[in-house]
Amino acid sequence: MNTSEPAAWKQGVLDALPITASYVLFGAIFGMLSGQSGLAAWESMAMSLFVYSGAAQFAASSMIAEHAGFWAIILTTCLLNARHFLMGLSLSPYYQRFSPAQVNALAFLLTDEQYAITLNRFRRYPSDTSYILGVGLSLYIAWCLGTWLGTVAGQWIPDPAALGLGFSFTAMFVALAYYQLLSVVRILTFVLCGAAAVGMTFVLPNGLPVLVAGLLAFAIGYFLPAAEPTETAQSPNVKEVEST
Amino acid sequence: MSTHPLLLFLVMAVATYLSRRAFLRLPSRHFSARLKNGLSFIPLGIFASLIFPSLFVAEGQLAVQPLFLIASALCLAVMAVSRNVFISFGVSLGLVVLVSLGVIPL
Repeated sequence: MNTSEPAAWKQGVLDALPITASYVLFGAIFGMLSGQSGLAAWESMAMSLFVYSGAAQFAASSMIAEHAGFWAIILTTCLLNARHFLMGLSLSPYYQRFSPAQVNALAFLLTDEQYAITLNRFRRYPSDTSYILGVGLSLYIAWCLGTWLGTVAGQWIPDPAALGLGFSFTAMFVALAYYQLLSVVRILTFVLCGAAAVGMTFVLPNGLPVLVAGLLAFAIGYFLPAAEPTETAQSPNVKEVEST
Repeated sequence: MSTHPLLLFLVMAVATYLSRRAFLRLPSRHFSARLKNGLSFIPLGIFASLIFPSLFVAEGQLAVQPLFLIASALCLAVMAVSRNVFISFGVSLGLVVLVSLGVIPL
């Protein structure tokens, strides 16, 4: 790697910055809503510190407000988490070089956004733990800090829907998806999976459409092996896609 | 909920962690070219399913959200020109915020 570039962990912090800001805001919204669900401030904080999953935490806090049972909440958490199986699988080639202890630790930091940002990085650079830690710890700290802010200052949190800030995650995913859309086959797969995911949101529990769409994309890639060379090449000389 | 919340959070945490860790490190020595090609397509499905429902589903109904569609198209266009994630993110989110605040009429 070129030595004039910032250290990998610093680059990770920089690349994550827009989403770090979004995590603070959405963490604060979680802190506020979980308080309204009847959780004490320390309980909301404990959930963010231990579980660290926006989808599962929002679902759990609304289920707690509705006095749902213990196992119903756990089952919902498992369904929402099913998408992580495929994200892990898709990242596994890049995690080969890490020790089991490193993988065990880094797994805790895997979120949708961390997945998108780190995957984009590893298209161009060899995978390294310091970059993943730079991204992952930024987002984790932002989520927990946001939760804390939400519990102490919930009434001052702006409504993200009114400001259009709910679009922040979509904007980041669209920008990062750009690098995946390198051929007609891949664009068609993207659109097909997107249409399938939209259809599935009406019939499947939240979280599962991501899993099924990922499996569908995998099947297309698996059965069309001649379509193009693999996407896993890591050529460090491709400079034009640097994200900062 | 009668169970202690901490117990709930710990079981949630374990379930979440295991799903993240499960396939994160599979022995890839025996991955065939086909399998690798399949793996390289997974992000397409994941990105598509994280993006499309926010553009075409509103309040549980099928709906076209023109502002989000235009902003997404703008985001891709800026990416094509600038190859810069920050600028593309900022321009497209900025458009949505300005329209939401009524600064730009749509």
